[in-house]
Amino acid sequence: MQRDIDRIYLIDRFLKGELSGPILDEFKNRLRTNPEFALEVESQKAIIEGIKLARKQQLISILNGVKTPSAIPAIEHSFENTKKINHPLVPILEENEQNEPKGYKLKPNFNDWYLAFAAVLLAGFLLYFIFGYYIPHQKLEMANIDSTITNVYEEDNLATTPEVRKPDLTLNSNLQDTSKSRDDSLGKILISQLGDSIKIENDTKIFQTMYSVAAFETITPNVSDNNSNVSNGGPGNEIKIDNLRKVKGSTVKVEYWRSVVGFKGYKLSGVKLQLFDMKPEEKVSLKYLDKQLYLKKNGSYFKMNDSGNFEPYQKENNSELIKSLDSN
Amino acid sequence: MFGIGFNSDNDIVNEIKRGNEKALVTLYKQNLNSIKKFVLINSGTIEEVQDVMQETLIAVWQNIAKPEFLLNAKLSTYVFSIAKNQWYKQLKKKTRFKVVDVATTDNIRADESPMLMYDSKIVCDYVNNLDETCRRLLMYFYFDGIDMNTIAEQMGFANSDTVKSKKYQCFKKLENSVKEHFGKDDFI
Repeated sequence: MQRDIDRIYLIDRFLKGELSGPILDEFKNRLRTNPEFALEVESQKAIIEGIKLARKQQLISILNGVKTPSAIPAIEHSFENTKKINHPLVPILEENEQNEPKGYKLKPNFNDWYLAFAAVLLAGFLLYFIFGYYIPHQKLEMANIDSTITNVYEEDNLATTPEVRKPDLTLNSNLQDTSKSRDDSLGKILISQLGDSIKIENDTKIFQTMYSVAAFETITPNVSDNNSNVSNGGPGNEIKIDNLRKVKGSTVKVEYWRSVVGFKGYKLSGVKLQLFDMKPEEKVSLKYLDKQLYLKKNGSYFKMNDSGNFEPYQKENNSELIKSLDSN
Repeated sequence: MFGIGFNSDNDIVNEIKRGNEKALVTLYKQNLNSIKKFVLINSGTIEEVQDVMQETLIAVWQNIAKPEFLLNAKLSTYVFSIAKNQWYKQLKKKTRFKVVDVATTDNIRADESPMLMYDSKIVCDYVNNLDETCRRLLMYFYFDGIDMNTIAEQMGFANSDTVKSKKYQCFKKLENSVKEHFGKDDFI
């Protein structure tokens, strides 16, 4: 047996090209002179080629089962020869080949964990946006429109650019404002439902003009604790005016506004006066008394407080004051 | 080491020398993009990319398994050079294509396996029907070129003499099976 082992090993070395010198010469001589030996060498050579082919096909089968990186679609190649030969060493590949059609198949690869993680994040964000924000938002908005009209909110800078201002349609502010009184502020926006569309109406300025307003101040020459001609905030809350003198007046810009919610009142900011529910053709006059502006309409005086806020008209009932205003 | 990936070129080379097929898979994944790009740029098809990849890695596998193999450059550079040689051969056969990248690769030559011989496919069938130990041993020795000592270590044999004896038995077993099938004269 040892001789056989050595002989086969010698033939292996010859076929690998590892023999040299006298050993190689002897081997070649034996090949020429011994046909049986030559036949054995040829036989061994053919078997070795078969072993090599089997190993090559096995490695190719392994390569065919490789999942490629995600950057490139996987190419699964059905190697023609491997289909005909059984490969017990690679059962997984056998199963793959049995299940796959012949030829090439492109497949996306999701093996990379970061891609999967990004996909989960994206899906979560979309779900949150749809169910947590968009749908509830839509429902609330529809509910708000169904209440037909009248959702109103305040906008502070109405008087500055009323024509171009854009209403804040934020739903939450609308819902909060429904509990407010309609007449406690100016700068209203009326939202009404007209069929399927929403019409938004603003307050509108209908006229403006400039008034040169005269100004007066009281003169109180004698004031004492026991006997005073002018009392301010005393019993009966009366003001006694002895005399008036004219002082330098000022020019007041007067604007006439139409309120969409029927607000009746005014807003005075320095020398700018906005009047609501008054018509330009109505006769009105203005007068300063002790730096306080009064508006006269149809024989009645209205005190204009320079608060910068929307305030209702308040008729002045102090007869002494009215008398003093009328005296000039 | 496995399951995470090989740390370096030397790891891959050492594992190939031991006949570890996982190293081949790693090599495939590491070099697919560059070889694919090269072949496609040079008028190749997806089908040809796969062929070149397979031929290249088989050649690399056999070259590395040789005892005298010495890696003097990056493994990816070496693999890419062999892939280019493989593709040049295919282009030469076609003759109607022109190569874009003509980098010099004369110093590195792919050592291809010889063309299939007479009845080799049928012998191949009988190889695959051997028991696993015999099959692995014969493949390691004849194809991978792994030396007896490494095979002994890899397959759990006592020493190289045991491997030599076992290899003889396996070879005889295969030879007898083949001879029974074809008859002695078929190999002349």
